[in-house]
Amino acid sequence: MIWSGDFCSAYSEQVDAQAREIARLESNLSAVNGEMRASKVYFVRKDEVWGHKAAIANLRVQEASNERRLLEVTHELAQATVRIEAMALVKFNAPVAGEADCKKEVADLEGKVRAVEGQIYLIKNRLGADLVKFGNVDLESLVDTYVFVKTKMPGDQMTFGCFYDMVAMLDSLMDSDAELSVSVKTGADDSKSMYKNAAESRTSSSFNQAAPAIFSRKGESDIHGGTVDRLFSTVKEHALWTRNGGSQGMKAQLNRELGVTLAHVSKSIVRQPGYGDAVNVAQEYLAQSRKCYQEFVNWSESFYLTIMDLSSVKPDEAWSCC
Amino acid sequence: MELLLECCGAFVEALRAVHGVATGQLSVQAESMEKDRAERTALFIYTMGRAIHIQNEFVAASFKKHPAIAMVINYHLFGNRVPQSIYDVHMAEMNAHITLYNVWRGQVVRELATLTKKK
Repeated sequence: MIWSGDFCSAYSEQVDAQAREIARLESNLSAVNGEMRASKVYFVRKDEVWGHKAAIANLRVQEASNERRLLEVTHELAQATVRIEAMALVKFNAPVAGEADCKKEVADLEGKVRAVEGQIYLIKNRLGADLVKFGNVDLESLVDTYVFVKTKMPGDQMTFGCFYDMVAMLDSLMDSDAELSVSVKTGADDSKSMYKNAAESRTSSSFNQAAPAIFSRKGESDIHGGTVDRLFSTVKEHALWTRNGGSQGMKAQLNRELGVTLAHVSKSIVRQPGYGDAVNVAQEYLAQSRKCYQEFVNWSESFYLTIMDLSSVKPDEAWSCC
Repeated sequence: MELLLECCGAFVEALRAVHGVATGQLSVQAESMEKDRAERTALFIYTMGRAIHIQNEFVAASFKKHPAIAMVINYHLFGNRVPQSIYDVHMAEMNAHITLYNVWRGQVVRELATLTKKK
């Protein structure tokens, strides 16, 4: 094949152009490589700089900590110096300064003893009295109760006669002039005027009895130190306790009397104006005592039935043995 | 009634123990309490609160599971149990009586039969 002259020259120009282009690209490539190397160096440097910065921050934190410690030590040193100076002064004026120190020490000790006595008093009052809470009111200690009385029961309108536990509640059934006259036996005969009303006197009286008077033989209320031998003496037979499916008997009678008395008591508690929290607590006392009495009656009857069921004895025998 | 009476007594005694502390405190501090009526009121309310706390413990334990009453029931059962030796003696006596009775009964039956034949 024979090439013409023009074609050859055109071809050689094209080859030259391509060679130039390749050279340019290679140049660019080398430039890019150079840039990449530079970037890599930059990032490495950057990391190094960040590392240095973190180290500097740590050093500063340590420096601050050391400064604080130094201040503390300086302070301690100053205190120690003052103490040494004081000791030197005491040593110099031994008789007078020593006496003053003793007095101060005794005063400090007395203060500490009073504080400990206060704590013991609080702890003693809290012993065995946890969980004594009525609604939103905590009466965990005598001190708490005292604060409650002072803040929630100002004046003489609402008294402790409005509060009932089970014994006081059952004794309220005995309220009458005759019963109230059989009142306080120990240490309160000379102080009947201490009580503002009959309810207070009756509650105080119930504290002195070994058992609720309602369970004792009529006219023979057990007093403090007595026994409970006469308890339930009026219910010698089951038929006396409950008759005609429970509609008659002492149980029904007690329930009726309790219903009437407690309704009256509850109304009298609610009537106390301006004693919101105290009224709520008194109502809670009454409700829980009523519930306890009811639970006790239910349990005693179910116990009687259980004995009959377990031992197959006759009703009279079961009542007498249980 | 004895057992229920004793259980009831245990329950009331538990309440009595709480009341007794207050009664003692009242008699000891009668003079100071007369001066501070709030203190006396607080003592009564606090004591009744503790009594209610104890009542609730009895209710929560369904009475019979409460230690005070469970102890009474246990002692009652223990005190009224029949010892094995006495039971054995009574059973031996009873067996002897039954044997004797059967002998006599046999004799009576035989005598009746004899009399019937004679008639």
